[in-house]
Amino acid sequence: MKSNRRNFLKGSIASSLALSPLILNAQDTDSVEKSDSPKRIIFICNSLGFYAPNLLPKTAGDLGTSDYLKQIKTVNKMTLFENLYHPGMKTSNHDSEKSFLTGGMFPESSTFKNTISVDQLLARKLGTETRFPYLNLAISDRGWGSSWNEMGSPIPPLHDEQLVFNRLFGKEDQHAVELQLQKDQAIIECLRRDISFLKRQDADPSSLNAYLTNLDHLEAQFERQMYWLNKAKPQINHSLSKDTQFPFSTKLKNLLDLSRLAFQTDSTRVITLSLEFIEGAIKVPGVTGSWHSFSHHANKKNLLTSLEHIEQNILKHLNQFLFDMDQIKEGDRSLLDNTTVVIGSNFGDASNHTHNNLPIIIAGGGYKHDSHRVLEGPTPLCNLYLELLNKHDIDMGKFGSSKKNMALLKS
Amino acid sequence: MQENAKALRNYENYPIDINLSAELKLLHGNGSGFATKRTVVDLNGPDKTEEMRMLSSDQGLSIIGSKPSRFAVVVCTLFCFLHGGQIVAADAHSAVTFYETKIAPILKQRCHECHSNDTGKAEGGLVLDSRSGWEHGGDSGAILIPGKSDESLLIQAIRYDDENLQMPPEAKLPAEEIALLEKWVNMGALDPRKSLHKSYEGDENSFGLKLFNKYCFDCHDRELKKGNLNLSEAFSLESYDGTHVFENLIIDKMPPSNKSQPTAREKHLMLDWLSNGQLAVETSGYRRLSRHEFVNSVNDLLGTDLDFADKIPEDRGTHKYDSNHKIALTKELLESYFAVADEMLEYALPEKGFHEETSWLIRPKLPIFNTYAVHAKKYQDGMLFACLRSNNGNVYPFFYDQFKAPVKGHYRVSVDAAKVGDFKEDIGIVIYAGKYFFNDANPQQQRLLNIVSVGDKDVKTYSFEVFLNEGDELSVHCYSKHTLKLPNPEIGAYIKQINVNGPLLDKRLIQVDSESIAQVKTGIQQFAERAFCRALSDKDLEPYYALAESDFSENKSFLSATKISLKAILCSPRFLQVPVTQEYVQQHKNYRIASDLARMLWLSVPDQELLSLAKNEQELSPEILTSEINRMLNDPKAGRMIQSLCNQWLNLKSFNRISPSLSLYPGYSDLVNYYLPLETELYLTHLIQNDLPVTHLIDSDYSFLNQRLAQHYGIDNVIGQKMRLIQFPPNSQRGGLLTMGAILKVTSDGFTTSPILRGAWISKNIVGTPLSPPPEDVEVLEADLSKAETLKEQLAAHRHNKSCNACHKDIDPYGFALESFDATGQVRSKYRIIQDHKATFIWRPAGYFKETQNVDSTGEIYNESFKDINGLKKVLLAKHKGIAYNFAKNFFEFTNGYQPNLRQRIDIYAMIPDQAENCRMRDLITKLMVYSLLGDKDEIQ
Repeated sequence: MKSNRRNFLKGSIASSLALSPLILNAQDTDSVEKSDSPKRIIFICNSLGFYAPNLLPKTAGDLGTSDYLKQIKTVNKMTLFENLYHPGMKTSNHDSEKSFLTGGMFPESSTFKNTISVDQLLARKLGTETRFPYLNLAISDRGWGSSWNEMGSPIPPLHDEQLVFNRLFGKEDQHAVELQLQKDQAIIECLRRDISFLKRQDADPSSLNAYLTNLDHLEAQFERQMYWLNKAKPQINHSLSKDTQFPFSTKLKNLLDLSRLAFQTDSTRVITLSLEFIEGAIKVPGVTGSWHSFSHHANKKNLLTSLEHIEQNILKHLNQFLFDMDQIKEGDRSLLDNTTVVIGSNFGDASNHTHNNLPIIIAGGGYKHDSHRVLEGPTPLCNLYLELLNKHDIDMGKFGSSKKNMALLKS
Repeated sequence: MQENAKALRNYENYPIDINLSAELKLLHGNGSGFATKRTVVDLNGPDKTEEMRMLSSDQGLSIIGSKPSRFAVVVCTLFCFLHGGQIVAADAHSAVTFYETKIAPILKQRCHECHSNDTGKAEGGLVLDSRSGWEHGGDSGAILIPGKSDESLLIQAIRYDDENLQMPPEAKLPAEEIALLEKWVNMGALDPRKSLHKSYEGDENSFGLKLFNKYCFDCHDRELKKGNLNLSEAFSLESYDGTHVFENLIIDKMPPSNKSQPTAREKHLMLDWLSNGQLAVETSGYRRLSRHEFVNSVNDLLGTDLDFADKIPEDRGTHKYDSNHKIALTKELLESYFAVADEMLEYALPEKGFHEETSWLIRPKLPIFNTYAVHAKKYQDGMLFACLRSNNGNVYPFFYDQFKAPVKGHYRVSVDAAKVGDFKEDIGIVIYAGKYFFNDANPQQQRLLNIVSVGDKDVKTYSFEVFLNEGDELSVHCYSKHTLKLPNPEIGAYIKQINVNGPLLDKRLIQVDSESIAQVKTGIQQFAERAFCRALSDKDLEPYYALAESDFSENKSFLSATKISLKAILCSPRFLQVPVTQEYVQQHKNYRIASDLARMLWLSVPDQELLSLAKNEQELSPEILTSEINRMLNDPKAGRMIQSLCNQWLNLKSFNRISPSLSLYPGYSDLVNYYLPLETELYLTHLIQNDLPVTHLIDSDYSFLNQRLAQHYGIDNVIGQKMRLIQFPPNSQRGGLLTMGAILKVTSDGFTTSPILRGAWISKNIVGTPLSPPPEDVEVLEADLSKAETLKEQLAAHRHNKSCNACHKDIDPYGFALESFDATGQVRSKYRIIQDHKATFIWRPAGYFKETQNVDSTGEIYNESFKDINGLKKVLLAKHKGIAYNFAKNFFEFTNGYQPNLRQRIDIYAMIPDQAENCRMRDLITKLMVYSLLGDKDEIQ
């Protein structure tokens, strides 16, 4: 079995090429050609948004007059958009969160079926040369975050920072993993045979096809793992924060640090980070309490002050993340210049659960930033997503509810 | 099948061309298995329509749809030519599929933004999200003529034929979408959302509708439009979901009590009419295994007892119940099934053999850290411990450095201990896996394993079994209110020593008798029959045999060959998704029933007894099923179902996410946190096991408590930490689910409580009143306790707004009744607000709070006022049928993975006796199960 494993693997790669978009194109050449400065992208969804009067600049066009953004050290490398929205968000619950990266309409409906999220499309293009095609992260163990697969199912995000660290940088027993992957390959072959047998018996094809799609993806992932097995994982000198006083802040900091490290070591080029609100109370410097309750502040001062503490804490970590990214040199630019950072929310105003004028910030990416860009009239956020897709050489004419690529980002 | 037949009847007015598939074949040219099996459609044979469905929707039409090309257009045009422009799908189902998969998405994506009820925009007077919408047309009149695309305004507009009418205005649609819409119109513009419309239009004289007219239209018409509902208009919208109206009728909320009421028979006719008009529930024909079901099944198959569900990502997605049919398998879930199957198989069949069973004797040592040593001292042969609570409020357990679990497994722990001190209560010794200390080099997460209740003053041995992971150390903490932070204690828990024995090998059931490949195959066969729950021939198992053989010939290892093939079985779609053929279901109905039954009641696979019942040729009658359900409910495995029900129905899954503030509730501890959810689970188990009235969900005079919970609830004289049935004192506010600490905590945020959130929880989970989400742009209110106005005044201001009050009058009052309970479930008469402490928080028994306003727990619901929770319970008990119905509906959804449709709701409601005393938990569950398993399942699939 071992002697012909290589051929066997080749065969299955060929077969999965046709089936799966998530496969490595450079399987057979041992050296992977990497572009000089790879393009990367991260989407961060802050599910309760930002208190607009603090976020929006007092003087239009000048982010230096935004209470929240003036403190960002890399403020000259970001654009805050106004008037972006997702059509079809009638919901008064938090369902719009499902659609943040998909643009799926009417997410509160009982017949709602989501569609693929923009990061997953990008991962097909940007994710071929790295150990991980994408990384989905979330602040809690809710089981769904911002990323949705092509079947409209939520991709369970990773929330345990130690686990993420281990996947990215942890040592593994190469021999054991290789044996395991070989066995799993044999199991997959066995399952394929059984499935074709079931198909001939006329079993429910929708069930089998759904399963088969997942099996194809898993197989592609195993092959990818096999390919990367004999390439040492990057060694980094970093230890995760273990501060237990402010677990929420600690987690956020760790996940952002890991995102930066993943980009820096070119372990992946596409990341989503979902900051879903958490049931019960959270503790950040200055306040302990329910984030969700505070978000329904109805402009009451005490609630607003508490909410501001939480939002300031989130911004503090985002600021650090952007700054760290900008400090890392890559060629004649910084890592931040090579990474498009999308920070946004599904809520325009969480207090009233409105979905117009979503807070959307694009930072880095090497664009000529406009500081503050107020678009004329409500504009689908998917227009911007479409532009991001096109910018990353994905030839699509439409994404979600997009109407057109508006060329909002100038290089 | 029936659904198809029913759908077909709706389309019988359309000419069906029997040569359609023949034409398709011709067009396709090579006839490579494409629509070649059957050239004549016979609508009278239901079995044939099924085949047609497969044939036309999976191969024929959808090919045209999914690969739009010149070919597609050619086909369309040819169709038009051949059939005089009136093309109809070969059968209704494929037309429905075509509409739903091809047309609806285009309309939704391209048109709804400006033309839909959902967005509230009807530009040009046109809405396109309902059938009546496009039938009625817009300001320019009819927009399409079925069968005639060229003459239809809609098609002209999207083709940009007329420069004054170009839709969508921003950009012309892609050619393939235009082609699809043309095709749809030419096919007769079949819109499956027809049923309700039809029943209304054709039924103007129907009794049901007349009754709605008589009892409802007075308020819910165009003029008055009470509750923002114009029923006569709503009924004419085929996309209208009648569930809301249905539920209000069935639970007697409507018509309101001051209006004339329909008789029972009239009401039945109304419900019947409404349910007939609804679309069938769309479910996929299969269901995936949830992560809990996966782990339980593997445990039962391997004879292990591993709590590994958390190693698989939370798989509920955005749904309430993890059994929901809409939840699909993902690559990530499949990946973790691969990994967890490995880990569980390795545990059951370790490659290097089982670890030898070993004994450890742990004698406590004086803690090395001063802060700890203060609260413990050497005593006789061992140590005496007081109760320690550190400055940050956590408990940090004592001693932990003489034992380390060599492998993961079950261990027997025996604690030799005695109580020292003259107090009547027991001392609790809490055993944790893991250790933590502020300057530990390698802190381990602490996991509470067990609590030993020590009441004897003589040393006794307290034994129990625990599961430990490799490397786990043990630590203990001694809990007693009498010894809290006692320095150099004279009283406390005396622990002489601890014995650990393990890993216990009798927990592993798989015995290996032989080492031959034949034996491997026998193992595969037995394992797979139970895992897949069906009879399997050698032919069925061939891929698995082949896998085992290939591994065996390579590795010459019985163990390796067994493990790899069992893993394949556990990762197989036959196990994870149960794909079944129609034919198979007909022939092997028993297996399907047995499999569903085991999954519903045990969250697992059938046991041998159930499996042999399935193998039996005899049809499973309601009587056999009832006795089988009874047997299964008596099995401890039913506890999984009850726990899962508590976690999902009552949302106790979020229980641990909420950490009560120690400033406000300084007495809250991990002990209380451990016992609170147990109370709810034991209570529900008790109701089911003893077939008690469903009304006990609302009220009873007992619950399951122990010393610590009784203390928490302010009940005296409960000694010992064993959870048991405790009678509440007379006049207690406790009794029923609503007054349980677990519920009261999970409906708060750990700091304050909100009557709105608690009210919504009761309304949704207990009463089952359907609620509409708040209207947009309404300020949501959170109470501000520091204000002079009372909470109720603040909420009253909110409710003063009419549009808020429409719903909030039905939500908030439930919450008012619970105002006399704080966020940890303790009774309160005043609210607490946090007082700032100086510098760092240092835990103290008095906490950091001051008391403010008096609690007001009065309210009014259903026009009945109550003065406290007991008053509310009386109101709810009077609505017992609605409560039982809501429980039944939830139980149905929980076990079946989808919400019952209106037809099923009528059947479910009919199961509920009129007399509260006769409506019993176990009886109701059994009836629901039999109904789910034998009822007209075809209806919904």
